[in-house]
Amino acid sequence: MSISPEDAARALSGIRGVQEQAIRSEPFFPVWFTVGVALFATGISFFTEPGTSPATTATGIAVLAVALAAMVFRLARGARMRTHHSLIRPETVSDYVCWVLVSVAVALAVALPLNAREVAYAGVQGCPAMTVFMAATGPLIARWMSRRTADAIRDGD
Amino acid sequence: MEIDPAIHAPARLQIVSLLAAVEEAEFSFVRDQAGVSDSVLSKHASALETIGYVQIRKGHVGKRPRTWLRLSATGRRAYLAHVAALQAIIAQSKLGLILDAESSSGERSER
Repeated sequence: MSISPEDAARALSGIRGVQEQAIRSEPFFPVWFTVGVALFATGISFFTEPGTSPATTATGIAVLAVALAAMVFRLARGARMRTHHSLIRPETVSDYVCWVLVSVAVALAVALPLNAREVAYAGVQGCPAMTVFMAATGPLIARWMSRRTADAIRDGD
Repeated sequence: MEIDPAIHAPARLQIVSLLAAVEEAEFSFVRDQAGVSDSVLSKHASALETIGYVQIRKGHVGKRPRTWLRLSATGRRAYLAHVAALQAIIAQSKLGLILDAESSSGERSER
């Protein structure tokens, strides 16, 4: 089977076009997942506060672990689409890591002053702040990551 | 390197190149992005599954049945070989030289 160079160029351009459009059309990750992970962290900090009985801690962590496993399963097996790992660029991963670190910093910014004032459950109160921050900014980051990946496909990187 | 006739037809190429960009995608997502009907996608997906290029998984989201498609390792190799063949055709032609010259001048003008 042989085709002309013009047809080959059109085919390659079509491949890039369909891939770029597909990646751009969906957020890079679902925001419910990151919010769920932030709530998981909230739960962990709550059940591991000093003074909590070992039985409560163990039960709470077990329930949270099951919930986290269910979320991971739902993400891995039920997502509308997941970008192929070969298209995920190091810059995109570092954007995501930076966002997670900023989210943790938000939690610490709330928890540490409360802890200094010896407010009870200071750590637990920092986590909802992180959850709200992730819920508010997650859609923007998810779209930004999709856009960066789609741009890289369009530019042939 | 040879053009793969199982992939080269326009609708097939759209479906396979879309699947090459994802780990896995829901049937409706592929249908919408490729701009084909349910029956056309179903026909091509079955044909690609028969030759071992695509894997089809059935499941549920809540109570609703869903179907996911993914490229198999064989399908991904075939896709990459097909793309390499297309690139080789362009590189061996005058079009390749024109595209190279255009990209070089684009790079120069960006500087």
